[in-house]
Amino acid sequence: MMRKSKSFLALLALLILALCSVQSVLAIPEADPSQKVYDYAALFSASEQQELYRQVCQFIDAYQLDMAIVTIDDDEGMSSMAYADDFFDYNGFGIGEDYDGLLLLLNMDYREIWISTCGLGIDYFSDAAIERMLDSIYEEMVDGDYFGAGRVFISEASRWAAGQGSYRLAVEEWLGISLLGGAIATLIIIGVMYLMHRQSLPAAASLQHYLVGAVTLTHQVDTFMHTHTSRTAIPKSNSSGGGSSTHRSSSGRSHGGGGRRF
Amino acid sequence: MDDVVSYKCPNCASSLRFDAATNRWACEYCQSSFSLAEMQGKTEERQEPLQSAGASQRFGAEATVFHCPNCGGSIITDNQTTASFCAYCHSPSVIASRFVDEYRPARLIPFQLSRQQALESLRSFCKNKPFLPPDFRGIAERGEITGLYVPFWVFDCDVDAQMQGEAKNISSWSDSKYRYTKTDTYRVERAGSMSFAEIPADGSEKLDDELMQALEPFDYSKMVDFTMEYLSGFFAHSYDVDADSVSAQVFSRLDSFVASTMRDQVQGYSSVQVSKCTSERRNLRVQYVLLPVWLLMTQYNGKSYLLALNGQTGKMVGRLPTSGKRMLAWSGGIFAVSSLVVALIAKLGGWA
Repeated sequence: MMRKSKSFLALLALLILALCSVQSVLAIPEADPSQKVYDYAALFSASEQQELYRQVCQFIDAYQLDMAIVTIDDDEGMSSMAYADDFFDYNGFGIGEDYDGLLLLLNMDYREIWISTCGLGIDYFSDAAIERMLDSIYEEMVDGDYFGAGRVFISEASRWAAGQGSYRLAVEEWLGISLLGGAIATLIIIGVMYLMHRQSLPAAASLQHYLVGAVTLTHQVDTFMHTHTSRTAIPKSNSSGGGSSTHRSSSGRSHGGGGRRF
Repeated sequence: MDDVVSYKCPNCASSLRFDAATNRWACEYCQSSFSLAEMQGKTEERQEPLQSAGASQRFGAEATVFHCPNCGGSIITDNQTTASFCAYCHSPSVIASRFVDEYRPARLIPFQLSRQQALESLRSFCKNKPFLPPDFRGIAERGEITGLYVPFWVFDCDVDAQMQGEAKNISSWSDSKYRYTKTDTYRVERAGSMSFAEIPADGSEKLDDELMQALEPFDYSKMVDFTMEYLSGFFAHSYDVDADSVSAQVFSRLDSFVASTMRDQVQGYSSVQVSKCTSERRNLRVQYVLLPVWLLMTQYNGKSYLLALNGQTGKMVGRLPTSGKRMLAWSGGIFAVSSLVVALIAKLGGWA
């Protein structure tokens, strides 16, 4: 009896899971992965779509990362994260065996921006990078400039990808860091110069100068007392490059990314 | 009765000074010069009868009045001064009676740098000092510069020392899972002896001990037996701190040096921890000597700065004033340059 109910429960759970995934898969519109810009919410004009498509293609060529921009006005009750991940996975985006790429979802239903990354995209775009990209896109979105948001997404992604996941500084940050670095260097150099200035009165010389001959050792004994060996486990190296947090999508693949309401 | 000696030129009877550059006594008037042997042979006959200056009087314990054997003018000195100059005729005078018994130095190192060389040392000392007020050097050059034989006690002694401690050898290696650290502990014992010669300590109350220690070392190979003739043309003081009083300072320097030397006898370990170090002094000998020091006293912005120059080696020491303006100017310049460098590095490195 017990065994039966247990296996029944397990079966039910599996069924619900399968249903859910089927539902989400069904909810995701089928799309041609070469189109790159999917404007289901009709936010862009035809010429704007053309322009975004051109820039996305340039990005893909330059960095060997796949890219897609998706706008929706109905999220089918799914979270932006699930929608973006599934759109990427089930429509066959991604370059290479790790499905390298990233996707921007503008969810007009829930009013949320979501960036989903996959494969190398996860390594290139750390959580900090995603946050900064969201900052820039958010500003365009609240202004209602959706085309601008798309363009900013592509340019920011290029900036980060060009640095191979390293941080590329904005002009004011560059200035700030230069001034800060200059100030620290100045403090150190002036400090050393001041100490040298004070050195005009050196400490008394060592008595080495007055030592006649060498030290004569009359007694020299080294006795072994004890030995002790300790061991510590070597920590497993963490290979999630550059502080990117990941989650698993319904297809079972790993995705990175993040989003923000607007 | 305090006596004053003025060394006279055997040829023309004007006052002789010791010339540091040639190691001879020179007469400024007839251009003749004399070696030590010639001085001791010839000048004695021509020395003025010292008692002629005899009407010396004392006021209190602080100062004494002498009479210049050259012009008869009064020379007022404190009780430590043993060689000075007459304020009226500027002839060098040595107070002979102050070198009796325990106040007679055993040996001295004659001045090897002249006043001119001392000023040159000052010039190079002030070079490459970016925070020094720019007008300090000029003021220092016009300041008071005195060639002074400073009373020093020099200590000879042997030291027996014993040391115990714990030494560790630490090695480490790792396999795929663990990092291993092996610590071998040893008890180490050392005993030994060393001897020191002529550790100096100044016997002058007025002079800063720190300043005098910074002047070390002197080259004792140039040390000669004391004769008063060397003092002619310089100032000299007799000690006012006796050997017992300065010995504490010498012994503390000695103890810390012995401790670190014994610690250095333990070699070949990753770390050494000394638990006990004892030492005993043997064969302690003290000598009273005079060592040559040029003193440069400068008043700058209402504060006095004393620079000292080793009259033998030319080593110059002393605290210097700091110019806030210069420091600020340098800070500004360095800030501008280093900011630019950081900016360029960021740009070239592809971060901006």
